[in-house]
Amino acid sequence: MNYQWQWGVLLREPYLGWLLDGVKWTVAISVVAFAIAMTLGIAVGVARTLRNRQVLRVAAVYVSLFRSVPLLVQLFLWYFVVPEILPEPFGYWLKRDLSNPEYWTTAVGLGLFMSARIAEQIRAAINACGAGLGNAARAQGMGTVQIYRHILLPVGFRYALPTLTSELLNTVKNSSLALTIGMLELTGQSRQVEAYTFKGIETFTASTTIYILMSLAVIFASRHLERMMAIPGMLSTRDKD
Amino acid sequence: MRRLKSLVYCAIAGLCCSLLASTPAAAQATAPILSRIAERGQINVGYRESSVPFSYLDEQKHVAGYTIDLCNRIVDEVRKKTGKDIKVNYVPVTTANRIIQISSGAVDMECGTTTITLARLEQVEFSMPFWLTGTQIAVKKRLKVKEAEGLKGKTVAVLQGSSNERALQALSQSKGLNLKFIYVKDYAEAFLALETDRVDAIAGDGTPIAVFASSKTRHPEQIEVVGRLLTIDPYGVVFQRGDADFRVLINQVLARAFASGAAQGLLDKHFGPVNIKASTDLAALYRAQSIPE
Repeated sequence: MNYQWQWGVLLREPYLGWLLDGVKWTVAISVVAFAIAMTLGIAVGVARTLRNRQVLRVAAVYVSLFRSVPLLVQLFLWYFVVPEILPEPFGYWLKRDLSNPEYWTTAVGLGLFMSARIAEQIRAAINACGAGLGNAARAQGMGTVQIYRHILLPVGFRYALPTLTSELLNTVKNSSLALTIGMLELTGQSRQVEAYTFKGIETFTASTTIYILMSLAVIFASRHLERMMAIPGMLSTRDKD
Repeated sequence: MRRLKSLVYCAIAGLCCSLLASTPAAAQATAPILSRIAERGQINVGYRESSVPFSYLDEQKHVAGYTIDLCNRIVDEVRKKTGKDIKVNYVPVTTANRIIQISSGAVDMECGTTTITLARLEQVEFSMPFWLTGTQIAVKKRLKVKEAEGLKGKTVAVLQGSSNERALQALSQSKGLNLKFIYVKDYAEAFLALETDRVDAIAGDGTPIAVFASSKTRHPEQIEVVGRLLTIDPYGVVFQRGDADFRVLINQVLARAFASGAAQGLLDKHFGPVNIKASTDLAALYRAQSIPE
């Protein structure tokens, strides 16, 4: 293989700026998408543990809908199909007048996709609290809202924290699909740099490293959070690891 | 747990070793491309999925086109030279990944619509040019734009990493057009964006976008390709550097095709149905490259 390595090209302008711009968009997509995913995920997850039949059914449909369609297809649907089936002015607004349509499509589409996954984890975490906790709280005279707010959600969150970390990592990595609808996030910008410099191997090594660093930062922060939030006696098996 | 960890380390170490070991071996042969093709009995030909009629998948999902037909002549010559019945393995490539596919050796030659540039020549090798076109824009007729300068403040779809993108970026900066760019994967996506009014214009190589507009869009009568050539784009077959024999073989095949009129025949076959004739520049290119035996 006669490949001429040229790492210096990555530090040259404008390529360094492009990569940093890509990092900025990856972070921006991930933050908004994860915020949407958490908000909707918690709401739907809680709904899936309620006793109301109607609510249960709607929540189940929501989860299976967003979980069973590949993310790439969902993004294409949001980007290409939805603006066409909406009434003309709304569609046009989505396509043209909205600033950064690719960004918002990705952030919202990715957020909805991830919310279904998070909903399942929240449901599992709440169920993991067991019937005892909820019944005990009810016996103390707490209402449903109070039980969720003071007992089931705080305890459930602690169970869910490790898997939620994975979901945040997945959100960051899945944001790279945004390039398929023309969003120049980190992977998209890497391709752009590659197209201009033909230094693909160097560029993608750099972006891989950046992804790993971002993941490590998230993992480190969530470990810290887990330790800070730990309730003595709960999840005690972790200490033996 | 510990055993699992050491297993993983072993696997990683093994992978690294094999990567290191495989690198020098490939560099030794003097005609690395030809010898690896002969060794595998297979040539990996990169093609485009929607660069009609140069290189594309037809209705039956067969790889077809003008460039592909030229490349088939090259493959025939490779068969003659190696004395083996070389199989053709078509690999889809995009504007964004073609160079890396070639320079990494994953694809032996790319037969599409790649413009020869001086910068690319530092990375990969090109055959002599087999086509000549340049950056033009496709717009909806009702926009009444006749040159790229008329697109002030408008949104333009470009293929990521194409020479068209660079030409429009430069024009936008020098003339203060303030163009907004939307990056698309191929012309199919570009025309989808144009037809659904997501973009006002497409910047692309004149010939392919004219062909696409007239043959693959829903309302060809609403779209026109306009403007002077903003760049000069000669197309060449792309392959890895460092194999002089392979380069000579390709150029011999092309020169003979130009001299014998076979290239003109292929042009009529592929461009006739979409009403495109050889420009005077292209005819001159064919003549100038009809190198004698």
